[in-house]
Amino acid sequence: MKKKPIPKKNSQQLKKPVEIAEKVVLFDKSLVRIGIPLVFFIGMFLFLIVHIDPSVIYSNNGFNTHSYVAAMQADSTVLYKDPWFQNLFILELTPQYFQKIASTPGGWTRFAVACIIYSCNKTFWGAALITAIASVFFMLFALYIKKIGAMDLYYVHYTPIIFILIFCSWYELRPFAFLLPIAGALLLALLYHHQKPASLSKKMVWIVSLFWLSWYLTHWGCLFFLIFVHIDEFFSKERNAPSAIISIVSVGIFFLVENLLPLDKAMRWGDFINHSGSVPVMVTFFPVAAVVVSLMNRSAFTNAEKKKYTEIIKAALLACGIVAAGGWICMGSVNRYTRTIARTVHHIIKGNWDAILAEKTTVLFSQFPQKAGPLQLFMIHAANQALCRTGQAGEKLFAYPQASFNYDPLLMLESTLSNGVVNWFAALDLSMDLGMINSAEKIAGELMETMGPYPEIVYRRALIQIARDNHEAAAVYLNKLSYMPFYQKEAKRLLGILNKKEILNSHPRLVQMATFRDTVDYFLFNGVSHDILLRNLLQSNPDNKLAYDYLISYCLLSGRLDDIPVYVQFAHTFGYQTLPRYWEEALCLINALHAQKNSSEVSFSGLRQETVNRFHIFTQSWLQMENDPDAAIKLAPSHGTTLFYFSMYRYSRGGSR
Amino acid sequence: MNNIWCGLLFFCVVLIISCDSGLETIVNNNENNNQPPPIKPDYSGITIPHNIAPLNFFLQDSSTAGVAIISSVKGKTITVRSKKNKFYIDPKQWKQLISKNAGEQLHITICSRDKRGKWSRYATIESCIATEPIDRYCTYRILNYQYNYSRYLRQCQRDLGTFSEKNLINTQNYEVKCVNCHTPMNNDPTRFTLQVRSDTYGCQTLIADGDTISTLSSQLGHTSWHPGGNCIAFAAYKVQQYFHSTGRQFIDVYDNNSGIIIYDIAQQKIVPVPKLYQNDYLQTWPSWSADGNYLYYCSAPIPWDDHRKEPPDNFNKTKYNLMRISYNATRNSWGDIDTVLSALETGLSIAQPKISPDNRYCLFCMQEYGAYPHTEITSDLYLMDMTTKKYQKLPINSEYNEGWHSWSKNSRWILFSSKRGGGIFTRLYISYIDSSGNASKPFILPQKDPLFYDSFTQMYNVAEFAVAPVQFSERQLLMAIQSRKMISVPVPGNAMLRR
Repeated sequence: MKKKPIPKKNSQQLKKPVEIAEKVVLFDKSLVRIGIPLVFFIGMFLFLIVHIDPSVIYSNNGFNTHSYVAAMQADSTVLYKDPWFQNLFILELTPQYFQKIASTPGGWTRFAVACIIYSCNKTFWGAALITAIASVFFMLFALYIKKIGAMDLYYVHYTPIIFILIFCSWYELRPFAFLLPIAGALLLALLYHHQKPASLSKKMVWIVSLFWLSWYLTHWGCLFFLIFVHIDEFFSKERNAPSAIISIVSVGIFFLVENLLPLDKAMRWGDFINHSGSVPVMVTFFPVAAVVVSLMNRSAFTNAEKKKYTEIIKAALLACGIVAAGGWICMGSVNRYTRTIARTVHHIIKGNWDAILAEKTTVLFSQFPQKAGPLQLFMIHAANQALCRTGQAGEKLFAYPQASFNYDPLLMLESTLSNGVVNWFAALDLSMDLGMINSAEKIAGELMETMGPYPEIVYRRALIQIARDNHEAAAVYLNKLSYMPFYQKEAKRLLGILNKKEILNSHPRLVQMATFRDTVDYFLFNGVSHDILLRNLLQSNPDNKLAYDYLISYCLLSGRLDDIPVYVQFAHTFGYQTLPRYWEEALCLINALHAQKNSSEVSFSGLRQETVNRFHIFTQSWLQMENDPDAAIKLAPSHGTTLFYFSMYRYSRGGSR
Repeated sequence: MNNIWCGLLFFCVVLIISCDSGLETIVNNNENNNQPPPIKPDYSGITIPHNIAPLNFFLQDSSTAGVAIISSVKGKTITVRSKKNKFYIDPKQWKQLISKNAGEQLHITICSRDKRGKWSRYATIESCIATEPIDRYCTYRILNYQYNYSRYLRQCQRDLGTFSEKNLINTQNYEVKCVNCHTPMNNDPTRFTLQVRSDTYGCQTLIADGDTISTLSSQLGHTSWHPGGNCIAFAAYKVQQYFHSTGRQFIDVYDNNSGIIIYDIAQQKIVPVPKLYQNDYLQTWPSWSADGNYLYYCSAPIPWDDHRKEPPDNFNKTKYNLMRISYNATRNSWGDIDTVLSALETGLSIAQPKISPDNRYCLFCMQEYGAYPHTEITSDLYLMDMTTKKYQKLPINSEYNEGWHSWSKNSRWILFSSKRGGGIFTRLYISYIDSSGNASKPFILPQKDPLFYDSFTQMYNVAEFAVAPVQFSERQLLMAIQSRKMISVPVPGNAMLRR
């Protein structure tokens, strides 16, 4: 039978749409394969640099800030747990450290996580490394999905990256300890797939050797290696009993070995659930996703028309997913608070006082003072510390939120015992620089016991011991520090000059601590009023300007205005040419109150006219609204940043920033 | 081909011989600088047991190379070449040398090469190898310098003949707040007590007796086993601490109330001894004499009336006397109390008496006030001859705290904690006590890395000698802590403790 020749015209007509379609498909595939991930990862890198700032992640290493914020938001300290306390994410470059890493199953994974955290010390490198790891993860998972012949739901590949972005936004990279074993398991499963061992003996050799390699490198990741291998075999219709038996035996030996390992090297299964719900979700996502996409592959999505729509749906889902995740990361209240607290911790550690004052806290204080919990207390403490350290407390104290708390937001000593490690760190630095050396040592001790020997704490303990003239003890801390990245140089420098007092005196912080050191003996944390404590510091060293500023701020905030005239007499000795705004407002208020008591005429002599005018305007406005229940709210915009307003209503929402 | 191999072998032999002859040249042809070698830890002029781990050391000079020759009367001389000024002694050679030379002198000669390549020899270190061995094991607690919180503590067991250390309990591994006071009976760890504080499991005290461990839910304190093994004396106390704003050691610890209770092991109950639990006295640190006929303890009249005041008045004037009460184990009866050493006589407060296993000496601490040597910088170790009741301050003390001591089974070695070197980090020291009660210069518990203590920010305390390793693994101890079968013993005077 002769075939009918196809008319030339027709064949050309037919060819064209095919070519176009092929081109479109090629364009689509390359766009999907390279374009979208490229844009996504560039976006991720920029997001990490601009929004997250990996250096904040490094500073928060060990704080578990998000868990703390979530617990404080829920008003439940019970929720706040840090199951990570095993000092596994502190780098100490000693043979003993590496011996421990090498002799612990999964030790190298923990070492890798610690390295990732430490890379965040530099913003750029941190962001680059996290993005690189995320892209490797993306490729591994995509490759695995492809190899098992599952449906190419490419938005599924982005899900692990969303996990990474979520815990980056929580300023917590320790969950990498759960992701890296999965990555290792995927990699080894791909290697096994690539080898395709046919004979039973080869199969056994490959499974057993990869299983135990995975066990050594990632510990529990070996179980996921088997899961990934079997998902692959199941959906590739290569199911066979021998490999299942080998796997079961391997798992049996795994649990046997776990029981023989010393407890500090054995698996702590509780870690999966202790951190937060995110860890089990994250870990189970991978096998579940692999199974789901494989099952979907078997369904009837074959119609070309349906495929077209599916592509559109997939793209739309991906876009929506990214927008939703990004929106939640940026706008979720706990995430926003976490960001504020984490950044403030970072600024305290770095001494960036101006950055603390510039921090936008409107959301955190939106319901203030009705909602004034430990998070607000911490931020007020940080702002007050920044104001006092920069000598601006007298001028700007009430330009920032203030209120009466159960705990004193100025020195925050008592609350260190109950409200989380972030408070401890803030109080530690303040105690050191005020000259409360023994308080600082105690806080540093509690902090180290709770968090572990983080270099920032070890460094501070060394400084405290130097300030206490205990150079032998300081040397022990410095020797330890000399093996810790980023502190090696400083530790060695201090070790070299420990016995050279004249060179030590060139260290500004040490000089301040040694000069202002408390010499009056009393019991710490035993209900001593903070003004007595600050007066003791001034008695020990009358030049302690920080203590002086804190003392007057304490009087302003606690309503002890009568003490202020006594203290402001010494203002000139601390370099104040004119009295700061709030000190004058206090004097103005005292004069008015005394005149009222004595039924005499108010005298504002010596005070600036603008202060007196502010007082008069406030008094008039207040008198007009005396019986108005909303007077506080109505007066806030015009008078909210005055001492008069604070004295009347015992809170100040501060200025809008 | 064979010629090549022979040539290579010959070359190696020549190299080895030349190296050895080089060593000989170093040792014999150098300048003797007659200076004592600046080694760390200080192992010069000490007495060591013949079963101790190698005393690795670090030479603190600017030398570029070093050689140490370790010799005694018998056996092969050990040669050690330094690695970055650290001298690691071969454990096998060390063991052979010191075990053969019990009762002899040990000589350590160190030669070092300066930057110009010139070798010089330091004065030889002379030490003594005692004839009596030290107990093979010791247990201790490792912890950070703590204040209110405790989260990371380890109860460990160390093999003194090697550097091997094993965790008995690590609080990081499960929800245990505190572990302390591992006390074996007569230095034999087949029977021991271990204080554990776990709110989660409710366990407070473990009592191991052979193959079994009993778990007590009652909080007991400082412990002493009766040498007969039928009962244990515990101190029960309400301890409180305060922090000073000034001073290097700024923690003040005191017992608001305390008393001694006797636990009958067979009957699993507390035996009331009212004389040991008196309202107006603080009584603590029980310690049985080696024959079991006396229970020694510390006792002080309570110098305050108001128990609610914190801290109470005159808490820093509490001075403890050393007392004893006679006990007849056969009749299970208690006799009279007598004062062994009065605080009035010494002007100091007595704590932690420990009777030597030969019943000849009592080693105890004395300090300005209170019952806790680890927080009192004035605490020093004293030795009392039990027959003459004469006591002496031992020359092993430092300007800082000494305490938490233990006797070896043969009564010739003591292990104690000291805060020398800054007053913060407690380290363990070993000293030899001769038959006349003279203590030799103490040496620090040897570690494999001679610079180990330079960067070790944790502390050692509650050290106890043991002749054998603890039979239970960490998992078995954990199971005992988590046990639901708990013995609850009502502690008499608990109401007083809550006061």
